[in-house]
Amino acid sequence: MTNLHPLTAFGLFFSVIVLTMLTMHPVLLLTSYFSAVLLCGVLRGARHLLKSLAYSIPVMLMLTLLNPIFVHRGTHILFFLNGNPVTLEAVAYGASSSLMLLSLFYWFQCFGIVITEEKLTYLFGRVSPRLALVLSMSLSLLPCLRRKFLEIDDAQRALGVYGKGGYVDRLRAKLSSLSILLTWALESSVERARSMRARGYGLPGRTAYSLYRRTRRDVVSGVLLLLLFCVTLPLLLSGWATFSYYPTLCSITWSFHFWGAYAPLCMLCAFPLLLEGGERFKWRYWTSKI
Amino acid sequence: MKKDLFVAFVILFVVILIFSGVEIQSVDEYYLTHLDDIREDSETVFLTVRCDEALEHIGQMNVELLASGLLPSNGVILARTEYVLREGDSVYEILDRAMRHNRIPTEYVYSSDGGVYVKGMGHLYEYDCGPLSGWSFSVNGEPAQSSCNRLELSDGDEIVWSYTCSLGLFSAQEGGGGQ
Repeated sequence: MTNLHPLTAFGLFFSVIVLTMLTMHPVLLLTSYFSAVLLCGVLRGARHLLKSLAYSIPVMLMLTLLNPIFVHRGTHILFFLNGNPVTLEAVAYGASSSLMLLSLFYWFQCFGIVITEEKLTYLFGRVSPRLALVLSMSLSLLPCLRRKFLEIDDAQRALGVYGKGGYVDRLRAKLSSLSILLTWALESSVERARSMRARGYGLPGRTAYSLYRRTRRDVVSGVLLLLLFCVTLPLLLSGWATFSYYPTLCSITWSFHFWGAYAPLCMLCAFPLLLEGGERFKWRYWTSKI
Repeated sequence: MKKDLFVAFVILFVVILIFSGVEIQSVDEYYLTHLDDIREDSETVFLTVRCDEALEHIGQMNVELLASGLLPSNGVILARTEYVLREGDSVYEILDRAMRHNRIPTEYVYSSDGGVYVKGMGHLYEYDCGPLSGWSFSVNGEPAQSSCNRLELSDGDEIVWSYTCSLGLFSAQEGGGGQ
């Protein structure tokens, strides 16, 4: 996955993310969610995945329960909360939308691992240097801030500034670390902009060195992905795989239309997994020969 | 440590506050209503809920609602029925009692100025039949000029709730302010 050509990898994530955002069908969302989670597990390791699931699943449950608080439509009433019905339909809709949100979350996590800052600048550097810089900065913002926060926190602890008292004191110490972090973030963004300008970033005629070579595998899989995307997108937009939540949940029809939209999406979702699995298998195979 | 205890108490207080504000009822509990028997000397009103106009504009109808088949084909959600008028009852109280008794799901919006707006009845909601659609009511043929909980009733009044697909009457339910 990581040695795929940036353009192919970007196309893959772009198409999967766009298609996931366009559907509310539970089967399609479940497929997207599980393949994203699996890919994330393969790329980041099982331990990291379990850690992230430990907080993403409660978030998912919370989002699921949030919808019926605001929406009261539906025929299957579970109970009444303060005189307002809590319906099965609203819960199902909440579950589907939280599934969509979290599958996007995991797809973006994989995106962040596969498409590094370098690759982003390579992809957008020639089209729009500004966009490339803004994209790479904003995508790496949170991990970067997190790393810096831990650093500041450690330094504060070592200085002995840290509150030793109860929970409130500790919280206050964290807040002071946070304010240091904010100051640092402002300063570093100004510094980064200046240093990029000093290097002549974005000036016309400037060339960039990149190591990415387009292999036959990249071209073949790129064309395949484009084809799958171009088939699925109009099918989803014209409602081949729709699911209605209100006023009653419709049953899932395993019709020709459903499979027509579902099969290409399935292939798209399985594509990175197969690719990664194939690479691992090859690696195992050749190392066992040594 | 004292601070921690204080924080713990505040959290406990908030949790208790939230739970005391939450009331959970089962479906049967919610729909359990008592209708007064109609006697000779009791004051009564008539209530009708119809959605004929929605059926006339079926082309604009929310596709999912249409597919569910929950819309009554004769346009009658609640046929003309006589209800006992209690002391101080407004259109809202009569409607609420009737809908609970007949187990027709009804959603109200309680606005900040104390008015009540009916968002949907019998799975038919505002905006389900075009952008100008919604529920409105009339008393004795007079389109409503105020919110349904502000309109006092008198003996023999004829209340008709009807679904409109054009803004005219619909805005009247909101007190004329929601153009």
